[in-house]
Amino acid sequence: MTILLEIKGLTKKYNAGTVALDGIDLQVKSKEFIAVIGPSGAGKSTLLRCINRLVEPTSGSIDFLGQRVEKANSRDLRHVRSQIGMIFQHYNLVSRLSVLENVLHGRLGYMSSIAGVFNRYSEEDKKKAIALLHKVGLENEVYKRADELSGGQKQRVGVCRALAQQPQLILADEPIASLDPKSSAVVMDAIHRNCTEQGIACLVNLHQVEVAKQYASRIIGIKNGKMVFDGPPEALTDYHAALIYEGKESQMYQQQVAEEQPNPTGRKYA
Amino acid sequence: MNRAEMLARQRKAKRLLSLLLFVAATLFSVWFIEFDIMEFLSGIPLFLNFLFVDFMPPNLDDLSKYLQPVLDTLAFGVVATVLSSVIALIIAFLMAHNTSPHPVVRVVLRSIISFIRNVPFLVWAAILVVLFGVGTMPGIFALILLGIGFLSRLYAESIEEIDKHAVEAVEATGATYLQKLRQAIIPQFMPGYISWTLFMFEITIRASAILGIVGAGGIGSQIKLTMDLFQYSSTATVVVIMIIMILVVEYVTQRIRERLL
Amino acid sequence: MKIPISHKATKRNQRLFFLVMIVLFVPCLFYLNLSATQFAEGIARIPDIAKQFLQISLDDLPKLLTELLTSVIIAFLSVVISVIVALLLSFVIADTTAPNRHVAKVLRVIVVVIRTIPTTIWVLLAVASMGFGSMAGVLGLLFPTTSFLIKSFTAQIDEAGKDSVEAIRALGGTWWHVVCNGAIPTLYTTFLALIAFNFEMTVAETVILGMVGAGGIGVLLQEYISYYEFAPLLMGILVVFITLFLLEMMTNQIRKRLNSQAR
Repeated sequence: MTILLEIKGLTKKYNAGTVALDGIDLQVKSKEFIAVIGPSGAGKSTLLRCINRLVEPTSGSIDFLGQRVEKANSRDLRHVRSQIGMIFQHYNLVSRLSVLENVLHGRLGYMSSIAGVFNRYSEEDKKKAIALLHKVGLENEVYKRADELSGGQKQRVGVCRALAQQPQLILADEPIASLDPKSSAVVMDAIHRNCTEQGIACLVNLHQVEVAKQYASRIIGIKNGKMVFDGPPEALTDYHAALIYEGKESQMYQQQVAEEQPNPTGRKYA
Repeated sequence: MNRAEMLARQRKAKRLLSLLLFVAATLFSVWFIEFDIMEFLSGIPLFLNFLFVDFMPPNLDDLSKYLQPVLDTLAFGVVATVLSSVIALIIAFLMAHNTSPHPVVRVVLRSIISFIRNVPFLVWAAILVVLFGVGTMPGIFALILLGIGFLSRLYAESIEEIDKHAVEAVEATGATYLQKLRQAIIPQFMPGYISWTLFMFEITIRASAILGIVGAGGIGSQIKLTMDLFQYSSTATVVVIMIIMILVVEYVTQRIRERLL
Repeated sequence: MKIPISHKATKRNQRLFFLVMIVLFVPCLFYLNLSATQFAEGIARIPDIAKQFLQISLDDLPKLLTELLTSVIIAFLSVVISVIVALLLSFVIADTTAPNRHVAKVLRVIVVVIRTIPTTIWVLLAVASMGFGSMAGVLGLLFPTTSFLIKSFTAQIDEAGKDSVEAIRALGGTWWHVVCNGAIPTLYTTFLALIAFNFEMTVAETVILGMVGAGGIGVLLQEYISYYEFAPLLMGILVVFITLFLLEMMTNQIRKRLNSQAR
């Protein structure tokens, strides 16, 4: 198995002085399905966002398929990002566009700037995008507007968008934290099945230990910006879990819906 | 004396002080502009008398003569709205902090727009009349300036208020700046764009009343003209026409908003 | 056959909007018949006039500031009077507190008509009736400011005041009880914000209304323009700009603070 991603000494300090990540070392091999667990505020989300530089790392190195991500110029960064799919807690769909258009956004990284501006997606891409939507059970929603869907449906669109990139790696940031248990299972199944079938490596942030154990081939525990556990799911004992979630035990099992809802109006004054 | 009582007393004192300040300001104002209250009060019935006796009934004899100014005003509105919306759109994207290519561009544009907006429209119109002479041209340009000042700011605010999450997601797929603009920002900004542009059209109709006064064309010039000639019953007609125009335009834009958004 | 990708209704509506814009724009542009030579001549005049503008002179500054104060005072007095009138009338008009429905309806229509007529025209009318000067300015502004305040006050009373008004009604309070003990205390801060906003608008308007004879700094500006005195005109414009800019920032602050209080 080849090494896909290699992170060394990754540190992120925010302007306010809080240290979100403190010297993370991590290797991801191809086809691995890694669950990143830890309480909210541990730095899981920052870790994922540093990998494709939605958040600029403070120090450390990130090597993705031989490309130094933290030093990449905008063209190289674009190339890296096009090979890394991302799934978000709040789905992050463009609400006034159709479901299909949202999925096709996954192809933008492979197109010229102008082609992307004028919606010149190839027929091939469109067919593939529609096939993806069929596969996750959204065949009747292809031409609906994204804001007409339910939460679980939106997240499946989010999964399709990431898959449309035909990525080497998928980063999923709390993909089921805003969903009810039933939709959660559908979404996690969709992510897991597609990644396994297509040999895509996946890093998924979760705070529910049970879900992590159910799907992951490897589990990483993060606490206060440091990695405190790294091993197969069988090795994660209740003792370890308790250690990772020390002081925040209630988050281990709970659905964390209320806490991280996006600001519904999206207004800046909130 | 306990704390609660002291706080209450403090609040009372504060309130008394602001009241005194307010009264002093009012008295000073009345003194400064030599405001004669008796004359003012007796002026009100005179004014109402003026409105209802001198103006009534509206002179409806030569309605056709007002068709031209009405069309002028509407054409002014359309041309000024379209042109200023195009210009303001570009400025807004360069000015909104989530789409601005560079902070310096943003600050410079913001200052310019703020200047355009805070110099009164009538002053702009008057200067443009000096520049281009009496006629439609200064009127159009004044309306365009008004539109740029007004729309750039509102567009930029709308752009800044759109959902950041979706933009982040499109960025994460490796999209370029232009792709991000077109695929994530513009679709979400459309409702704001349409709504404010329609609003701008309403404003141009109202503003054309002002334009006429400095000789920049539109229906306002008829108001000025008839009043200068003391043909108050004709003035009344023009004012009525204007009210109808404003109400109709407001109704139409409201309907369009309901259908589109 | 290309596979369509967009949401049909959204796309159609947006296309329609732009289509109508273009369809209206082109004939209107031709109708206005703008002359290119006039444009060119105007542009050619810019450097000359700009030169005259930039001969900065501070001679007229004291005069300008005095007249500016007059403008602000005209705005202040008309807002003060408007607030008194509007407070009285809006409780008569608002649905939740109206003592008589028919009176309320008639007043509502009158307010709408008054609001529709632009401020400039009100001032023109007042000047025609009272003669040039500050008093005509106050009188002319009274109508649009009062109608604006009435409209916003009644909306607030109907929206926010409902519960407290009903509570007092249930206790058997009189109309005066309802207004003084129910509605006014709950709406105090909102009203203040609206008044501040209205004051800003009114100052912006008084500054220019001098140009139609209502007193204040506008009179000076109009003189400068008609006598082509561009150097003091620039000073005047700057004074106006700074005033309006500061005012805008101030009301933004007030609004922000009131917003956070409300939250």
